[in-house]
Amino acid sequence: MQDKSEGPVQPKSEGPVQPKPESPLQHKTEVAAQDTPEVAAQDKSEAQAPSMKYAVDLVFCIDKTGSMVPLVRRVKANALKFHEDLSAKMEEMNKRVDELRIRVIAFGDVWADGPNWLEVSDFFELPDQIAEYKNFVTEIIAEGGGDEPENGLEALALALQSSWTSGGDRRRHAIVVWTDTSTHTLERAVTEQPPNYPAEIPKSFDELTDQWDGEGIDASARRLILFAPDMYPWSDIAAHWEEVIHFPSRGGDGLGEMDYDFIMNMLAHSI
Amino acid sequence: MVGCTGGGDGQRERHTVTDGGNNSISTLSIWSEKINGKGEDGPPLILLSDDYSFGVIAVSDGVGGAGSRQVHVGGRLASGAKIAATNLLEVLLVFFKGAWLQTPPDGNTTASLGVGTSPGAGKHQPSNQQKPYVVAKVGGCSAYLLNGAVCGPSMAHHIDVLSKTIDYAFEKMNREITEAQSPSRLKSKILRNLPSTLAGWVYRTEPEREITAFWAGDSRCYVLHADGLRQVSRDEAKGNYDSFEAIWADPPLTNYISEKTPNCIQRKSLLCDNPAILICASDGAFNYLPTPMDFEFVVLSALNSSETMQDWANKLAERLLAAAGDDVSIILHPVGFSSFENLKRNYKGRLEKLDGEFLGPIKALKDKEAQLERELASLKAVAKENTKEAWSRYRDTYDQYLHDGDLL
Repeated sequence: MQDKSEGPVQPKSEGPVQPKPESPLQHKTEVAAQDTPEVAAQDKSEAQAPSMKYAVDLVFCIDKTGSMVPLVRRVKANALKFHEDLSAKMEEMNKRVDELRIRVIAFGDVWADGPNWLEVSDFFELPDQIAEYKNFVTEIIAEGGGDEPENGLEALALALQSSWTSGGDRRRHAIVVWTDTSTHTLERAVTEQPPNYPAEIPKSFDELTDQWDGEGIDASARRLILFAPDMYPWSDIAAHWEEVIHFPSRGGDGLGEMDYDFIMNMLAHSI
Repeated sequence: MVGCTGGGDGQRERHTVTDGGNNSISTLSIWSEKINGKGEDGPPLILLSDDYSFGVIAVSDGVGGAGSRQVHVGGRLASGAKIAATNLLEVLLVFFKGAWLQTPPDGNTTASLGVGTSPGAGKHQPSNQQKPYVVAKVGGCSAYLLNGAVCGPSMAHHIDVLSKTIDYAFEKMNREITEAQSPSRLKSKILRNLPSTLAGWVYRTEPEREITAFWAGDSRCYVLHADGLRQVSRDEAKGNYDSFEAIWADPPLTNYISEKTPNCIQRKSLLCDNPAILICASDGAFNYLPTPMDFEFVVLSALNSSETMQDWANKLAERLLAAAGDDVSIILHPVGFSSFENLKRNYKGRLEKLDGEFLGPIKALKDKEAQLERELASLKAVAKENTKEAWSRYRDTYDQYLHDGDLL
């Protein structure tokens, strides 16, 4: 791609290219000295670079059935520090979190627990509403639920339908699920819907999958973290949905530092 | 000409390199980690024939979300993203040196990456005897000048063979990881041991002019003509975002280099008879400026205010790093220019047009918006003050009955 009008680029006349006599360190010092304050100031003003603002929404789905009793204290502790760990990871990457909101969905079994099967909060805006958020999480009591399965898919559907933030230059919409068991199929509620069942829950797993891939949640911002056993539907979700990390366990039991760090990286990084 | 700068904004170190070319024209490279020692871009690769008649330039960017797990490869412990990005460019280096020189000159590297025994490696080695080459390793950046090398018959074909070589090398590295480390308990479709994007150019001017861009992921290849910047690579990411929308959407990738083979490297060959600048860059270089127009403006305004290639490298680094919220790697390779002055002249008109027709009007509007915001803030302050003053006068009467005691 040489300019024909000006002739070809001339090869070097001195034969094989030789490294310059000065060492890289010497050159480094020399060039850095040329970087005068006047030049640096001009450069920065011309760049006019806005720093990216990040808005983060976290929705925590917590299984509050009786089988979670041995786990719920740790799950609640994890929920209470999750946002701090994520913010620290993002700060480590020089990403400033300008807006942080957390919503909590504590779920049980609508067929076993009746009207008390679900506790849902609005988004808490942190740090202003940190006390309210902590109170909500602290007051979750693990009880009821009968035998497995539970209504974890309904909780996930409600989480997906959250009023996600559109603030910031870039966003992260993350759902985290802690449970120790499988779920009812969504089809069950089609034939035997109890009175306390929420409206607008998808009628099937496929429909829920469509919602994950739909316009309700930003495909660039979405992330789903599952601390759940290797059973239906969690293993299916991990195998088929995008932007999902599954730690097969009972509510995150046995999670090591390395895997937790990976999860935080996955949330903080682009993919 | 080989050069390097360090230091900078106090938080990150940067490396700029110019190398090759004639007395005043050379290749410009910038490589900077957002956090020193924790970057996941590979050091940019520059591999040129000493007469500038053919070469390859490439950058890589480890995918931090998918490859953040720490892995052991070749006795080195680092995130899979970092190792992938760094070793990917080493695979390219060994591959192209092997393809263009008679024998792969770096036996150790070749063996460690498994390139030498890869199907296709060395397929295009010329039959004449091995030629010397000079390595300039400056500030972590790699620049190599091949003296008297002969390139193969088809640049595009090199890319097809390259992907098989990368498959082989990455499978070998992954075996080392899986044999030494227990697998993660995490399950995910995005999890990779060695994920990295790639973007580069391979070109030659003889016997016929041929330039080919190659890429995987969202690192980009551009060509900068006298009448403007063209993006040649298409981002491999979800959604139908254009390049302006993608800055804000930051969509997940749909393809990148990893241990999951076969890898897919996209390529596009161009006819380009006029002088131009070939550019390859990781997203840290372009994705933190407000628009693609700003990226071109930063490149050209830095050029316009510079006196030498090294000066341009320094100014461009300063401007890109001031904006970037990520690691930055970028190579600019001018082709077809007789001198630095010739290069500057070629783009002077474009810079004026870019400023006058595109960015200037936007800046005027933003200035006006800022002025109106200042006026509005001032007006609000006056209104607040006047309200307080009016209330002060009004309350003389209004509060008259609020005093203690009867009103009789």
